[in-house]
Amino acid sequence: MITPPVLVLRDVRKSFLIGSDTVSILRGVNVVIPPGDSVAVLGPSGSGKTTLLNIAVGIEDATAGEVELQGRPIHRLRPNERADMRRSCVGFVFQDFRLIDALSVLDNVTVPLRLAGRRVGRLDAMELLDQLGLASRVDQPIDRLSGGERQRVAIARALIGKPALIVCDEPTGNLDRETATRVATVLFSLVRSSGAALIVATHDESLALQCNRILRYNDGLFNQHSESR
Amino acid sequence: MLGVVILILQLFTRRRLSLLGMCLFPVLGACAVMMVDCLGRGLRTSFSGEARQVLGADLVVSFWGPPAANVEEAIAEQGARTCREAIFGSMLVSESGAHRVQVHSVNGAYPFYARSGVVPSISTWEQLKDAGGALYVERRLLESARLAIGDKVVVGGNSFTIREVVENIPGELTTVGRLDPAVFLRSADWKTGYGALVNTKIRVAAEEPAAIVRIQAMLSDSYGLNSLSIETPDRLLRRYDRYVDRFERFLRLCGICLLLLGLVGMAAVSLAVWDRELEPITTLLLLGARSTHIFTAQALLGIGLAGLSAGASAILAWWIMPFATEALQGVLPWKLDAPLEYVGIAPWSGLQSSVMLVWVLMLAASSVRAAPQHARRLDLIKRNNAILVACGFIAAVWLFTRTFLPSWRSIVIDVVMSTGLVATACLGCGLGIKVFHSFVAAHCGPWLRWVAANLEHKRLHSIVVIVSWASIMGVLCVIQISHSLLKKRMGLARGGPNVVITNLSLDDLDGAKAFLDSMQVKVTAVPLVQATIENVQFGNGRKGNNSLDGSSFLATYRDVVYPTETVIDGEFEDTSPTHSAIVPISIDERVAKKGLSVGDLVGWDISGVPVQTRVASIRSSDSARFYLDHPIVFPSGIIDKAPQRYMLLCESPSSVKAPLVVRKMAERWPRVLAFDVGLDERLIGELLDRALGVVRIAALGIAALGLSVSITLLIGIRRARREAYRVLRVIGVSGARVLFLNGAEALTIGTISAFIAVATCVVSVRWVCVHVLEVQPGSGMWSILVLFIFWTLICSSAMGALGYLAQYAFEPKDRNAQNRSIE
Repeated sequence: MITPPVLVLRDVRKSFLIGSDTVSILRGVNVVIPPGDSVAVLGPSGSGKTTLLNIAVGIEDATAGEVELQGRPIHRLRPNERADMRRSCVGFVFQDFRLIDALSVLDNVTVPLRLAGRRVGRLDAMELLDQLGLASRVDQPIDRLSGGERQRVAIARALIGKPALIVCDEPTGNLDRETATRVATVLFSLVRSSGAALIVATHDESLALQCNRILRYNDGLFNQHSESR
Repeated sequence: MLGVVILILQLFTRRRLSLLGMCLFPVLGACAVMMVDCLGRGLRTSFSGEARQVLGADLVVSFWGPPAANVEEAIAEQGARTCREAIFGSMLVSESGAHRVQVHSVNGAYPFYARSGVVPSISTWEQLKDAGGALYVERRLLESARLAIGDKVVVGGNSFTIREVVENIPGELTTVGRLDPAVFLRSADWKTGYGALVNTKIRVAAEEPAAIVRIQAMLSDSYGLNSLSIETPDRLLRRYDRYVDRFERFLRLCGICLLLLGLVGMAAVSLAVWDRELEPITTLLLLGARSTHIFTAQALLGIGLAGLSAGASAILAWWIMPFATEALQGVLPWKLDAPLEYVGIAPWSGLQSSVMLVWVLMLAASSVRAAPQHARRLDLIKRNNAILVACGFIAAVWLFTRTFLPSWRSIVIDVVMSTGLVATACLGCGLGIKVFHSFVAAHCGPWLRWVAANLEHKRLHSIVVIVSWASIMGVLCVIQISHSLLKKRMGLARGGPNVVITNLSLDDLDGAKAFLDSMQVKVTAVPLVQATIENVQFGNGRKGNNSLDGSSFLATYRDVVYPTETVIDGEFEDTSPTHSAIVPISIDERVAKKGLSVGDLVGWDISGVPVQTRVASIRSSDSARFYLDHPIVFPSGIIDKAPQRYMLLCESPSSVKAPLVVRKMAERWPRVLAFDVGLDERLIGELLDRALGVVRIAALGIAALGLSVSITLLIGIRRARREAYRVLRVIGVSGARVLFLNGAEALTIGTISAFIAVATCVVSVRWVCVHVLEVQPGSGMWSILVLFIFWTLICSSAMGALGYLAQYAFEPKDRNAQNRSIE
């Protein structure tokens, strides 16, 4: 039995109108990500990595091309349906963490479950936080955490709903090298054990090398390279 | 959706302090407007039920001069009861000194109707008819003269025993307008004053309303309307309504300004914390929350907040109401019961709820805008917003007009005016910052340019801080200047005579002068003659009415213009013409306002002698209260032979000796009236303070709100300030330089605030004087400069201190650093 891919991008193009000029950011991106696979989108700042991720999960519309998330053409869905898709099958890790300051560590981790109207499994969250080394920080407010700890909370939040796809946008961009390595190790090990697909936008070569495949930006195009590991 | 709603509520509870802080501003404004509304309503209600009791009769006829002897019989023929009351000034002499009093000489059962709580009761008043030598006095006379019931005193040369204290005087709306305490005695003991100005009132009570109408018609036919005035409960009510309207309007303006200021403050603080508020919502949207759910949750939160704040404003108003009522009570003669009416809460709460809803919906819409994929839905959300907001406002306006239907027009005008005032202040402030920025950019060094650029960059915040400061200062300035202008209008802010003696006959003149001379008092004698207008021929083809015919004025004769007077039209003619010529006279501007102007021919009756005159000049005078100027001035030699009395303007060597002069004069010449100007100044000051008590409460409310807006805003932007100063320190700027920058910014804000405050103040004072207090603002605006400098300094210091506090005392905790050290 063939497992259907989690994410499919077919000839995805994106251009912006700046004044009277049209600027093309994405010029036909093709990628298929099956479950358990990991793909790094590697490129310098401004190359369109974040735009590609946004299009992949329905935050932005592509100018042309098709996007399928869990077999559903997300580009044809209405905004509320896209939100439902994101809620049910995507976990996010952002460069600036995007944690909610007003909530505690545990509350932040369980936000996706509450948004989905699912039972809030405190034990599951505690277990996850324990694996991430944050068991002692469960009830602390976010502003008491260091950058590395915050990113680990964001990883726990991304994984708590057992999504099919984890989307990471520069997950180590705000961290020092040592912390970045620790966070990346935890992220990849947990994603692998969960069986979810992973797509990571980064300009960090060493992080990209930990993924199965790399989409490398080259002369205005994202070219798929062979497996990195 | 439930999950989203709970999450939003959870976010709210974590941020309740900042959100509730923002809600507080409109709460204060709504509370003030609600209180004004309820106080006005309570005043009207309590008065409308007591108009007849306040007047004490169904009809009161006042005569300026002695009425015909048979007038009471003519009224009695119509089936009505009457009571005559002669009111005139005199001196009361006791062991403690001499005091000027207003004597009420009554001959009947008085009043016919009494208010609840009137002291003494009507039956006691009845005894006044028979009790010879009894005197009823106001309590304040007992206090100021250190007298007690049973003490013997001398009034106008007659001996009396103080029998009882009068708490409320029938026919008086307020005691604020009357300087002298009233004393009541029976007319058999002393019928009228000795040549003093006497106001005779005949109070009438009739069972049938038709009889009152017949009596009014009879009096108008017999006497004409120029020699008497008629007061009925309905007229009193209308007059009272006018006063309350003015008072209420002034307070309402303060309240609306407060509300607008609150909204401006809320908007500013919202802008300051906008990003922080939007951030979690954007995160929720990215994580997959539906925008409609977020929108609904925010709207529910808004409704909840609106309800909470509306309730809070009602509770606050309820709590403050007793203080406001007590302040009002100080200027009212009867017991005021002005509870907070729930019907008054509805419109303001509705309005407030709408405002809160608008704010939260804006937040919701902006949060949706934050997620790019919802851009297309934004139009739909905008439309929904518009519908919801429109519904809220329609409901509020409906409740508003339903409650205020009788005076909605004036309220709309007030709202427009207040909005204009606040908007003008904001625009002026923005312009001030721009001008400062341009000037500094062209002429000043890098550090001031940094300050100017900083202000320009954060212009909106700066505007709010400046407007809130300006509102604090503006209101206080308005109070101060109104106070000084009123005092000036009442003739208190001048030098000159410190004792004024009136009602002196020609026979006593030389004796009094010699006596005062022996006390080393410098005296100027001014002759006074009663003159009545016979006819007026208007000049320059004007068609005037004949309402002046029969009007009486105090006239004098002299050949000079006093230093306190200014000729504003025509020329003061001091030549004495022959008796056959038309005599040139000078009239006061207040007489001119009755319809006379330069060139008009006026025929006078002076003690039965006709005198034909021409208005040669119009004068304006600083003081009206002490008759230092006179309505009509004849040249010398024309009315010198007419029966006249004298006023003596005395300059005592020291103000301490003035009471002694008054006492000695009253003991020796009991029929004169003596004014101790210093004492009167103090009395008027006290009365003004009482009258301005309510205004002060409103002003303090505005001041407190302005201060809290400033503090909240500074705390709201403290992160940005701290960051900016940190960067400066990192690049090598010294601490002293940072302090200088802080001070320069404070000084700039202070100066612009003071400028706007003073400009607003000048406009407001003029408006309040002309339209509310109906007095002409004087030329005492020199104090503006002093106020400007004073408030600049105050504001700069306060801003500097607040900036310092915001920067250090309320410094956000750097928990990351603390945590890293733990790691």
